[in-house]
Amino acid sequence: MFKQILYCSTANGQWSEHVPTAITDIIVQGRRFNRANNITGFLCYKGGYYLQAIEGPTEVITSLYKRICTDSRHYDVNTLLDEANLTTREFQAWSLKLASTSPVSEKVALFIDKKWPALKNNNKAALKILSIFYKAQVRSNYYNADFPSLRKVGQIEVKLLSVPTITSAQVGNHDLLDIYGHLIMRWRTFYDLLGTFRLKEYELYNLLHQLYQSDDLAIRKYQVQHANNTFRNQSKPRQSDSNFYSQLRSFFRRYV
Amino acid sequence: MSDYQKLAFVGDVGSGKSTIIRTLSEIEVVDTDKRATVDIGKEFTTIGIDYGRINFNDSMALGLYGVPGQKRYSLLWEHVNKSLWGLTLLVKFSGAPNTVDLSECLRFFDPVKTGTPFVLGLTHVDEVSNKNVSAVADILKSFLLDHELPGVVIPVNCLDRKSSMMIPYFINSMHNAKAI
Repeated sequence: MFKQILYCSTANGQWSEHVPTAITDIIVQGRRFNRANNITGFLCYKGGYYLQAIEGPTEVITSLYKRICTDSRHYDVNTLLDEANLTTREFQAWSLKLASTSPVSEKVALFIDKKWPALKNNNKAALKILSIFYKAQVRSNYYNADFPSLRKVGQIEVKLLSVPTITSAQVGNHDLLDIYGHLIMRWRTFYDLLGTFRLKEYELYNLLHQLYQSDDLAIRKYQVQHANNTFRNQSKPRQSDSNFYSQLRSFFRRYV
Repeated sequence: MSDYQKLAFVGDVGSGKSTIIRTLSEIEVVDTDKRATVDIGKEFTTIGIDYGRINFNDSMALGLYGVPGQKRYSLLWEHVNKSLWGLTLLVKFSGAPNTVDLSECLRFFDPVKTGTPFVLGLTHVDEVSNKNVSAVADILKSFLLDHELPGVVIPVNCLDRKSSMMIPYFINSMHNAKAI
């Protein structure tokens, strides 16, 4: 059985302008602990407050929450939701998602900024917030989870609804950066990418997997604004005719 | 497309603007580094625009402009912000990045409005573990998303030519994606 807790608290200690200085430690330690103990959830900070959801096996969550309550990095911990005996978990894709409020929903930001005390003893509002994050997770995770087999891959429209983190090791990988750049600028189908990059299917498949290895994904408003509304299925291979682009590209390939 | 393009590097004190331009440039860099008058953890700092250039052939070149990230230099920002080919914000790795100056910069350059491809380069990461890099990258990503920008954060070693080249390379990819 699973247990799920949603709480908000006031951040303690130093803030470097809008970012709590402790946040890196919290995220790094938290993810390590959560992965080891089968815990999932998210953490959100805004305007001096934290909002966190944790879920996992009942005993683990109970003891973790006791420790959280006495953690000196925050105070005034308010339990907003405490659900026990759940059969499924809601945030299974996130070990400890660092959530940004505004892309998820302006409403959440509003709650945390101004009306957050109103959340206390208000189950309905707390559930609403959870559902907003849940939807965010489902949307952001769709393309992450949906490369199950090569046979299926052909029908997939690849949209970068989430922004993966490029690691230092991946920085030298030109194809990966090319694909990333394309996904940032507009939505693509799998075959669009195949045509543009002249890769084999399994190569592209592997690259996309590498790109989406992170479990921390964020929703992108930017993509929606810049989206090309008509999807071009099975489009012909194309390269930009821009002279500057091709010169630059061959230059980089030569020197890098 | 014109055969001369401008790539701007904007960043705080010590974020590596002058270094990356020196690493990338093929001409002698015109820098404006002056001896720092207060202790900022290094001897020289940029007070004007750094300029470098990558030549592809006789008629094509990419100009590299390095500008300080503090708002009091916004006069220089105006000078550089005309028809930019790409904008790179350089941020030095730290547990809690200073997002106030970054916000000012982004509000001024406004890459969403101008459609300029934008990348955030996270510098000084060579001795930091991958986990810490990705945690800080997350903070920066959520900050960028708050500004409605795609959260593209690329770790970069400004002293290494291969790593530094990834910035113009990536911006070039974004341009190509726009064009086709």
